[in-house]
Parts: sequence; C-alpha cells; structure tokens
Amino acid sequence: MRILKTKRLFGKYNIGETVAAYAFMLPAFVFIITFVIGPIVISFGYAFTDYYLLKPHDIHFIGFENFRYLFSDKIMWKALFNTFQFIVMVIPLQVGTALALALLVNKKIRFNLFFRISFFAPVVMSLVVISILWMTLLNPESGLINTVLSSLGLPKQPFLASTTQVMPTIVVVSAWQGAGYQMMIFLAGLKNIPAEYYEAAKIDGSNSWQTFRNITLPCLKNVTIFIMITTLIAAFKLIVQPMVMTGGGPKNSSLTIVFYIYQTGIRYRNVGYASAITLIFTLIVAAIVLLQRRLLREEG
Amino acid sequence: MKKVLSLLLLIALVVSLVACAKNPVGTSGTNEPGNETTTPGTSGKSEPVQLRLWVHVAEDTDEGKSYAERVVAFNEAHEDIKATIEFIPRDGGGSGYEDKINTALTTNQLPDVVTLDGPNTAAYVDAGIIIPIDEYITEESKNDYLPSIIQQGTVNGKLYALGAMESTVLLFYNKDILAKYSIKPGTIDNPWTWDDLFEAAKKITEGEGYPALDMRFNDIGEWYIYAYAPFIWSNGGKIIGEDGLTAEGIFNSPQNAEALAFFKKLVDAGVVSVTPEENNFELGKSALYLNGPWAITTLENSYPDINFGAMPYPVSPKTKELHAPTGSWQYAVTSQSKYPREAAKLVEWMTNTDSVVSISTAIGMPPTRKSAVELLPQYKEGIRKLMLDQLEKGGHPRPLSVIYPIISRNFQEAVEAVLYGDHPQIALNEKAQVIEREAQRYK
Repeated sequence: MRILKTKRLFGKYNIGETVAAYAFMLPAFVFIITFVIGPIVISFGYAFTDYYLLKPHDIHFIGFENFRYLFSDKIMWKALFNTFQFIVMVIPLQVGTALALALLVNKKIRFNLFFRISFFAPVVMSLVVISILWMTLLNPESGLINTVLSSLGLPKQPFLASTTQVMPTIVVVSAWQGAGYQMMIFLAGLKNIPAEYYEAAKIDGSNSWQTFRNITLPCLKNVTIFIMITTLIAAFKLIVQPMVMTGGGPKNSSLTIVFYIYQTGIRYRNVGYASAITLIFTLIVAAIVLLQRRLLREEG
Repeated sequence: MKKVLSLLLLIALVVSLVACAKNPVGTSGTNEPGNETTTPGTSGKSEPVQLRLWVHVAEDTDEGKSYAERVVAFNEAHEDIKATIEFIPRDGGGSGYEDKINTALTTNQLPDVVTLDGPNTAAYVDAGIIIPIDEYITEESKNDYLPSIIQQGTVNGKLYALGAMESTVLLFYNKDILAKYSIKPGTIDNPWTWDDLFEAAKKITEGEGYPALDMRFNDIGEWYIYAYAPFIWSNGGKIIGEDGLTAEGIFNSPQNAEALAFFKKLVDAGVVSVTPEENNFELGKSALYLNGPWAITTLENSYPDINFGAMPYPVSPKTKELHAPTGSWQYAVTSQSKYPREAAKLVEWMTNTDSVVSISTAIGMPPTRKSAVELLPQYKEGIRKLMLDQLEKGGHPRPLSVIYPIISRNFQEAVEAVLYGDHPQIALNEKAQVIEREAQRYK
C-alpha cells in the first residue's frame, strides 16, 4: 500500500492520516450532535418559553419567568431535598455493599460462581418488576418482612407508608438492585492488585484490617472514584422506584426531582417550566460531579 | 471466515432494525380484493377515502380484537371509505399512546380519528386538537346514548367525542358476612348514607377483627379522584370552578372538608386500611369493597366461593343525593383530518349499537347506548343493571378543565394527606393554593 507522501502538517501525522482520523470520528460526531448535544441545547432553549405540550406550534419566549416561578415552587425544592437525601444514603450503602460483596466473592471458596451470579441477578431484572416485588414484600399488613418481624416479637413497620421510612426503604431497594453491578467492577479492581503486595504484607506481619487499609483500599482508589461518580449520576436520575412504589408519596416525601420534572412536563403538559427545572438541575449536577472529581483526584 | 461472520452480523442488524419499525396495521386479516379496487361510488370519487384510526390498546387483547373487527365491518359497509386501525398500547414508557399523540401534534401527523380518555376532552378542545361533530350525528342517535356519555364529550355546548363503553364504581359486599351481622345493604332507591356505612363497617370490624371496608387507598393515582370525588359532590361541594381554573373557595370549601373528614373518621376507627392487603375481599376477609366493573368478572371467574352483591355509592346524610363515578375512553375527529365528514361516520360507527354490544361483551364494561342494553340481557338484572341505574341516576363526570391533570394530582395529594393524619381543611387549603398557582398560567 502506497503512503501519500505529503507535507507534515500536524506534527508527526501526515495529511492522509489526519483526514482519515477525522473521517472516522465524523459519524460518531454527527450522532452525538444530533441525538445528544442538539436536544440538550434545544431543551435549555425551551426553558425560556411557555411551551405547552398540546400546542407545539404556539410557543412564545418568556425570558426568565419560569425561573422566577421555580424559586417559589415549594414542591420542587422538596423534590430536590428528597433526591439529595436519597443520594447521601445510597452512595455509602451501595458502594460499601458492593465492596463487601466483592471481597467476599474474591475468595476461593466453593460455589463462588453461584454467589457471583446471585448478587448480580438483581441488576439484570427490570426496575419495574423489582419495585413491584418489593412492594409486596414490604406491605405493612401482610408483607413477608413484617410477618418475620412480628414473629420475632418486633413491631410491624409501615415502610413505604411512612413519610420518614419511605426514602430509606427505597434506598435499600435501590442498593440491593445496583450493588451487584459495582461488585463486578470492584472484583476486577481487586484482581488487579498484585499478589506480591499481599505476600509482602504478610511477611511484615500485617493483620487483615491493616492489609485492607494500607494495600487494598489505596489500590482500589481509581475504581472507587469511578464507581462513586457513576452511582451518583444514577442516583440523581431516580424515578422508577418512587413512581411505581409510592407515586411520590406519602405527601411527596418520596418525590424525586426527575419524577417531578416528568410530572410537570408530561402529565401537567408544562414543557417550558419542566425544561427550566431541568436546566437548573443539570447545573447542580455538573457542579457536584466536578467538585467530586476535584476532591477525589485520580492518580496515574 | 471473520469477514463472512461480520458481514452476516451486519445484515442481521440491518434486518432487525427494519423489521422492528412500527407498521400501521391495516385490516390485514381480510384483505379482500373488493377493498382495494376502485368502486364506481355515488360520491364520484374514483378512490376510497383513506382514514386512519388510532386506538390505545394492544392488538392481541380482547378489546383490540373487538376494535379490529368493527373496523373491518365499517369498511365492508362503506365502499367509498377505507379505514386503517393502528394499535398503540397506553403504557410504552415514552412511546405510549399519549406520547405518540404528542409527537404527532408536533409533526402534523395526527390520524383522522383518535381515542381519548374523558378527562382529557377539555384540554384537547382548548388546544384545537379535536373538532365538534354535532352536525354529523342525528338527534335520534344522540338520544340513544346515555346522558353521561354526551355530557362527557361536550365542551361549551358542542359535542366533540363519543364513547363506546362506560365505567363506574360500586360498593361490593359479602352477602354472608352482612347477613351474619343482620345488616341490610343499600339499594338504588334507598342507598346507604355515610352513617349507615360507618355503623355497618364498625360492627363488622369489631366482630371479625379485620378492617371491614376496602376503599383501595393503595391505588395511588387517577383512582383517587375517580372514586372519591363523588363523596365531595354528594356533600354539596365541587372540585373546581365553572371556568375549570378557580380553586380557592371551591376546592377547599367547608363541604369538601367535611367529606374528607369522613374518610379520616373511617381510618381513625380502624374500619378501613390505608394500605389494604391484596385481594382481601376476594379472600373473604373484608366485607365491603369499592371497585369497578372489572371486579365483577374477576369475582365470578376466579373466586366463585364468595357470595357477593353490590350496592350503589353511599350518600351524604346532608343531601342524600346519589353521585357516582362515570367516564371512560371516547372517539373524536382530529382537526388535522382532511375528511371530517367520513371520520365522523367512523366515530359514530365505532360507537353504534353493534359496536357497543361488541365491546361490552368483550371487556365487561357497561354499554353506552339504550338500544345496546336491549341486546345485552345481562344488563337487565342484578349487579349489571345496578351499574346502569346508578349511571342514570347519579353518574357525575370528572371536572371539565384544561388543567385537569393538576387538579387530579392535587386532589389525590389532599386525600392522601388526610389519610396520613393531616387536618382536612388545612390539607385542602394547601392544595387549593397549588392549583391556583398553576392555574395562573392559563388565566
């Protein structure tokens, strides 16, 4: 194959290679602009309009009016608060559980594969199916969990029927569902730790906890950061569990911000206002993710 | 070898993408040559008028099959019109029925005829999505429909939509348990008052040690306004003002607070559960049960041991007026249709006597035409007749409003708040404020 002998324009790559590189990128680029960036920009544009879902040809620019409305919208702030409440609880629980499961499953015990599959199984199940299943388990009168509790002499719990218990309950269900996925990633991270480190630690007389703290954890730092960011982003998007299990209640105590955006935009047909909420929400998420990356600077 | 495999994979991918594209379903089961050839019609047109109809159910359900058959019959009866039906199930997570309508609005791709749920009528009319069909329906035909159907589809004095099926809610009761405590059920001429309901429920709960009443408080959503609004109306209250936008003073009126206080009374006395057990009535545990016509079929088919009856909605002791839920899906002609006259014919056809008989038989919902009742003997007696009586005497459609979804949700939240212990007047005041705030955009 003959290589085009051309001037070296871009440093060490010749024109042919550069053109080829951009040509390969082009389809993906077009795709991202059309289906990802384009809609985002348009959606942010709608935030400054009075777009009503049933009148798509009757849209007017209204400036910052949606944002003024937003700041006095008590339900929106409650939804935001609920979402943060969820995040603060689910990340330690889910990441911690995933790490614990990964450590467990990393040992060379029998039926190792069975455990890995069982822990991962909830991940592949539909969120709707899981929500319905847990609703039955959590029923305050006849649910399995309360039956067990009362047989142990403990009082039955309202779970989803309580404004204080509902969010923690949804946290547990979500962590149960998602931990398996992060477990797999932690597992990969664990397997990447050279065996020599552990041998050296053993020789130096380190006990399990010291080994864990000084070798395992530091080596898992990058993996942990990745998992925390992905879990955080997924947690921000919480909608299925509250929608199916509680409809946002009781008394909007399980209403999350994405659920509220859906309710405002699709059910109430207020696309303009919903877009404004989305815009503000996106800015908040972006700020938090950037902050998180700053604080947990990746190594290497 | 690798090249061959990757080529095969590429072909498979392309084929699957193409095959998965949604195709409108023609009346494909009966593609008779007669439908395709041009007919020397009296209209002078050389080609049949093409109409598109969208329905909100899946093709392989009893309801879907009934609709498909009726469209075939329509095409056979009208040589100069060819209607095609497309099935778009309601919940498709983003690609569901209403989402598809919203998209079609943006791209001007609406079909000639759509189905819509009763409460959406006001919003669709306000947005200019559907057109009046008064001129296409004869007086004689209009009189054959149940009054509640005409009322549901009428906005500002004009008729926009007609329904082929009705719906309501009844108070089912376990005959054996009621007999055990010598409690007489209410009848259409002598319905229970709220006090009767409370006394009966209390007596049974104390005797059986289990909440006697199941009002399905666990069905969070549209059920709340559908099933519980009649309590408001019976007590002399209203949900929203005539303009569909005024809530202050109406949504939170003292009469409404009284109605919600009754719910609170039931919950506090322990005769009804806020989180009822699944199927407690079907299993013979509770004695009183608020539910719709589908419960009749379920009980008859799956729980034959339960000796059940039904009585009309309980009435407020203040007015003794019977108000009961009504309303279901309807057909309407869209403003984007190029053939409104023919489309209106299709709407009338899909709600004519034969269609009503067909759908009522298929899914067990009450018929919407008096002539259809004549042909459905099961509606001449028993519980099914009670449904029709209740609809006639007290059928009260949900409020007509452009902001109906907001009203429905806030009503649900107000009732929910009371069930969880809030003071009824305070809960109503709070939600009235929310509705007023949202309504400002439309004033």
